[in-house]
Amino acid sequence: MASSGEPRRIDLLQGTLDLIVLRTLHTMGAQHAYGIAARIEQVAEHPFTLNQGTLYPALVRLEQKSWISGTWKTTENNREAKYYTITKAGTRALREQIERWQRSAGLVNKLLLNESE
Amino acid sequence: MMAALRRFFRKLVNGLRPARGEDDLARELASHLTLLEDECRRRGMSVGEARRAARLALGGVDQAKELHRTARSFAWLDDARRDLLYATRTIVGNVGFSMAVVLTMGVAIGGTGAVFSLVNTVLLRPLPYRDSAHIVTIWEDNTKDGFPRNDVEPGHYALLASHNQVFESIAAVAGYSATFSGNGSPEKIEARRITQSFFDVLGVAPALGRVFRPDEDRPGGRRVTILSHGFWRDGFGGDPTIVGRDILLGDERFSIVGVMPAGFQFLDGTVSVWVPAAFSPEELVKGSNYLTVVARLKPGVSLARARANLDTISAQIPGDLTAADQRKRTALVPLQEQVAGDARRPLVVLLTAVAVVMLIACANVASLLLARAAARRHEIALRSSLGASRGRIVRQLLTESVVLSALGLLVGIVLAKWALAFLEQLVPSSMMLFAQPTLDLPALGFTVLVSLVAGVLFGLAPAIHVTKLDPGSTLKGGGRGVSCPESRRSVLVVTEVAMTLVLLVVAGLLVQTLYRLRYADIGFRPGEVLMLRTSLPPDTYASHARRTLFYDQVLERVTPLPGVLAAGYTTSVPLAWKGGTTSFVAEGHALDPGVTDDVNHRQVSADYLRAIGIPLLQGRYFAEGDHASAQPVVIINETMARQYWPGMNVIGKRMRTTDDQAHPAAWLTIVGIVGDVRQMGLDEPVKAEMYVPYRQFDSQPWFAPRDLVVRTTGDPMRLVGAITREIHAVDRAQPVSHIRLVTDILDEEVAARRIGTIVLVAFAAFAVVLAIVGIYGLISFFVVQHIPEIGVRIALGAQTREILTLVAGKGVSLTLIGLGIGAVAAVAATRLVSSLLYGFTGFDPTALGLASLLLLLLALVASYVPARRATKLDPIVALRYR
Repeated sequence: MASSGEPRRIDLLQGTLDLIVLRTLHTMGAQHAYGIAARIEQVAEHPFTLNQGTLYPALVRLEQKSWISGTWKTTENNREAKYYTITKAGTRALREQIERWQRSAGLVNKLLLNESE
Repeated sequence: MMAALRRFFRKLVNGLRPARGEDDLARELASHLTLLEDECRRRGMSVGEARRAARLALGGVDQAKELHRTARSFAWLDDARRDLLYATRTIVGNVGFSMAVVLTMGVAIGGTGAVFSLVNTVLLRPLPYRDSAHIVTIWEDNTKDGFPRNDVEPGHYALLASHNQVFESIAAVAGYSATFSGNGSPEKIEARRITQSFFDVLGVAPALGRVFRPDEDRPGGRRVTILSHGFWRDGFGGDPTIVGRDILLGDERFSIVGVMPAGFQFLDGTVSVWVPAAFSPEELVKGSNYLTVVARLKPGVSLARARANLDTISAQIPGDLTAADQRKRTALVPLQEQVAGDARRPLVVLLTAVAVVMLIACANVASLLLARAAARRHEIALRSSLGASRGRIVRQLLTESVVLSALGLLVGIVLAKWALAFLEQLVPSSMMLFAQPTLDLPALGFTVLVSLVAGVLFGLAPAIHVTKLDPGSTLKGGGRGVSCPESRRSVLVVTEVAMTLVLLVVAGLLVQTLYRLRYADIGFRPGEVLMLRTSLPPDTYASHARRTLFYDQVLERVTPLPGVLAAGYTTSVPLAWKGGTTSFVAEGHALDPGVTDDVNHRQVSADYLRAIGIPLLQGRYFAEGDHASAQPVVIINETMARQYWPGMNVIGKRMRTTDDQAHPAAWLTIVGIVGDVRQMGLDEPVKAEMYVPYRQFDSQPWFAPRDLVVRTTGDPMRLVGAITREIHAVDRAQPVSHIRLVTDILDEEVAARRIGTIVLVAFAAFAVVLAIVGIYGLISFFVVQHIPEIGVRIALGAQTREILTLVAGKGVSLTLIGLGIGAVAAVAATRLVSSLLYGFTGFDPTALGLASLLLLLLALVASYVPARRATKLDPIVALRYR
């Protein structure tokens, strides 16, 4: 049921979603799940980039690692929502993850460029 | 690393305490949807559109939940927990159903556990001797004379002991008559003469003191003795300083050198003292079979090699033994096998029976679960359309059946403990002291394993069946008209009926056997007959005249007692001594040097045959006139008459015993033929037997009468005091033992059989109940499944009888198929248990016929009840029934 009929949706690489969530929270401050999803779609410049339900495993993984923490608050429209903030450990982890991502992305890019020549 | 560890524990905790995460998640998802909807509304969608778009963006609430759960905790842990919870809810929600399953499994598991722990105790657990697997017993194989495991002649033993190359050690045990007068009245105690190597062979050290020394096991050696733990405890109050003290056995003083540990016994469980055998050279060549021989195999020597070695030795028996001994053969039997003895066969049958019961129970429960699975099709179709995989659903249903069988296990353990108290009586008496069957670790482990396997076994079929259904058609189909579980249940019911028939037939045959053995064909009238044993000490009663005087005086005093109908003395009452033969020759028959004819030898008083109730067929009983100086006479049994004087008039023919060839015995004139008595065992063929008046027979003192038999009016036990007083009036020092009813001997003789039979009957009865419940359940289910069809038939004017035939016919036809298959299996099973049966030649159709009839009748009732309900259906209601 997931995304077979929705070619525009992206299946993110395992682990990249965690990185994206951490980065989003780091730049935007406290956010609820919908806020994170909206931010990702905004960056992707399309409303249906993400199956938003897939955010939840990432959130719970990060929370369990104590890289983010969640609290219930009310939104400006007076709706209740669980807001996540990045922790100190999360910020540290984000730095490492970005570095690792850039290294591996650089490698993959190089390989792809060499191949296409 | 730290983060990973932290996450692991969180997952574990979440797996065990899921409610918190679950509530929070539900709240979060709801909030998420609300925010999404708000956003969509802001973009101008209608409420409905917004809701739809929000759900689409989220990608399904339940899927999100499932993803969350997988990430949040260990999926398997969470699943197992939820399956357990679900199973518990289902089980509690269907108390009646669950009780039926738990009780069914409980009885089956309990039976299995009890029978297994019995098998473990008797057949599997090693005996309490060092390396008991290496210990063997050695017997003379006199199969021709009806003694496949005869005691060994001392000469034969001496030869085996000196010539064998296969034994580390070998020992001989002989009976010993001992009277112990320590506590006032003289008491006969069980004693054994043993060779010095005896305790080495068994590898058991005494608890106190020491074993015998070689110099004590020689003629003229020191008189020493070792006590059993029980005798030391009961006779001497467990005195720890007992070693070195003296004990008076008969007239002889023995020095106590040791006490054996608690529970130590060998073959018979009642020996009080052991003394050195100290065989004299004469004893070691004398030709009478009275030694029990036991040996320990050298390491690495196989039974086959040991047997070959013994056969070689026995075949080369030197010429100083009699010609008849040239045919000597030895039988080598592992001690464990000897001890388990006749218990092995019934135990194997019981184990098979309980396995069959277990299968029937599983079939029954599987059938119940299938019926319920049909009712739960909807629920399961719903779950699978909501994304539960097939494996998950199977696992969930299996969890339920395993939980049910675990509950059954609890019931089973209680039942097994209770049943063991009863089954314990199946342990052979030779093992009684050390082999109490208990639900020990192996037995418990086995039981748990069985219940788990059973749970999977009866859960798997319904689980697989249910998941094969197509969710779409099931949800649309209104939950009706799927005949699949019905046909599966039919197969199960047919199987149950077949297996039940087999159990019933075997149980029936065993009951018949028991009845025949105990009440028919025993050859004498055991009712209201008392026996008392007075084993005369050989030292005091060395002469024939002395013994005769004792018997005469006792009988003279006992016979006139009020309540006594007849009293008599005999060598041994039937079944109390399964042996005791003399070789003989009939007058006119050539004495073949290589062949001897054996006859059971019983020396009796004039009135013995009347007292025990052995019928006279021809000639006369003994009379007072058959005294020492009269013509020597003999009474023989029917078998002997037929065997040696076929078709002749036997009265007046003569015979004589040939044991002592140096002093040929006098010719005995046959004056009577009496009926056969089961002397060798209730299911053993009757052998030739002769009765001679003790007054006329002064040789072979080991056949001198021991057992006093008194036929009474009313309760025989109330005469015990008076009779014992009269015996003690004759000889104050004479111990009286074995005071019991002759019927008790018979009961004891069949005790193991009776227990085994009762258990098997109980199994069969349980199987019948299960089979009938199975049929009833299936037919009820059939009716429910076919309500509309039956409604149509009734609406179209079908008669009550037609409906009855339609519905009940189904039950009956299934039963008939089961009976057909069962009959074939029963014939095979009968062959399997034939060694436990008595009095059947070939296949006996009575048990099969009766069992089939019984099952058919019960099946008819079981199908009639739901069929009757079907005829009462209101066609209007039936047609609307969904």
